[in-house]
Amino acid sequence: MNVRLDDSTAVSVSIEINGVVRTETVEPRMLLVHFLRDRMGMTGTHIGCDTSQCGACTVWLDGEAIKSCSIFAVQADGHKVTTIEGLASGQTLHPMQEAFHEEHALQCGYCTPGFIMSSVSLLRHHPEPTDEDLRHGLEGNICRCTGYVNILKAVRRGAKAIAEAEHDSGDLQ
Amino acid sequence: MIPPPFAYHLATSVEDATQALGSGGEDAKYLAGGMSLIPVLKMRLSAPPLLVDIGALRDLSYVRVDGDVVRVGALTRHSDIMANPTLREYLPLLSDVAYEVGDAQVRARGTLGGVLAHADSAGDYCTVALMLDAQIVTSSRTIAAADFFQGFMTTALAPDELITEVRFPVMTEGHEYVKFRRRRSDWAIIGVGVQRDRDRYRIGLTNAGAVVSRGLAGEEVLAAGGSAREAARAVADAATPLADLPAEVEYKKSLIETLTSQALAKVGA
Repeated sequence: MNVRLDDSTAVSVSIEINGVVRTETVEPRMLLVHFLRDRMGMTGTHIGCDTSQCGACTVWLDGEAIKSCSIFAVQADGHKVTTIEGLASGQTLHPMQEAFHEEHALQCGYCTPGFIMSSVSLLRHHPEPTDEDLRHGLEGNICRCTGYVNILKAVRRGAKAIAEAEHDSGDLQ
Repeated sequence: MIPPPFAYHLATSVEDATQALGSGGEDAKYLAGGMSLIPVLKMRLSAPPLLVDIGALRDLSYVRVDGDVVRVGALTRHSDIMANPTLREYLPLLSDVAYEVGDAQVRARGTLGGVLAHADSAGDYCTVALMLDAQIVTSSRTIAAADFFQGFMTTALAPDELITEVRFPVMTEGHEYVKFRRRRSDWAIIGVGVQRDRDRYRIGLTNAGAVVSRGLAGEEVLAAGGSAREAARAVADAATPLADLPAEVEYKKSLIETLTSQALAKVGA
């Protein structure tokens, strides 16, 4: 066994971000959120609390919502990461982004990317979420402006829009 | 927040992990889901020279029923424990507890073995392991839960010893886990677990002291024919909670009595 104990040794990571494989050399201690913001220039993923509580930094790792401030970039090596920048198709907003816009589910907007990433991830597990599903599934995201009422409205609207879009595409097939 | 620098090794097997850790000195650490360790590193409360990442050992993620034992792989994540149909059938207390751990993003990363190794008395699975007399299987031996938790965030694990599996008894009777906190994703200010086990009840306490604890005094009261209320009082009297930011000792003792009483009532004790 020969483990290199030099803690300044940079390691190479290849992470598929929003469908594109990006290879970079990083220190093992680099957090994924810093990799995304500082190396990739993807500043849509926000740093809120920095203590794993607020969820502003939520992204998907292999399709599951996680907090990118609480995982090292090396842990994402060889995996797929999706950020808020990966949701829209060109100029067309994702149905959940549209729903947050329509329901005025934000005020300052700082928590919004994290909420949207958590919401879409939640709907994959609960396509027709109950109120309990929504509150349980979104407990890892904190908003200090809205009081959450419009956020819950938006996620219900987004759920409906996503279900209808999937139904329509099913009809076409 | 930027953690202190460390060397990193991605383990390819349990053997590779223990060997790698051994080469990093006694402060080297295993990295599983990282939901406790990474915040600790970010706050610079610890500065291990080496992290051995065991996250790729996915064959340590499983749930199997073997006679009257439920075997759960150490790297099984909270979200998998929560949703696993076998656990829902054979050990529903554990499913209920997983539902109340952290938040969705934490449940997608954190692991059973990680919680036990971290041994925070507020770690909900520690309560379940202790109250059900679970067996903790490591890279070198099997340790009874009662011998595993030794002090404030201190376990019987040797520095390079790695938890691989936890063996719980099959328990399908009445059960309840009450977790009291101000925000849903918070740690428990106090948590109480109750499990009916044939002609007796098992009681466990979360965050009720420096070490995870069991409500043995209350179990004895019930076994002797006492009421749920008397049992709850006995559990609270014997408990030694520590004051912390959210609550003082008397408040926690009052919570222990109230929550134990409620949990016992729900299972019909």
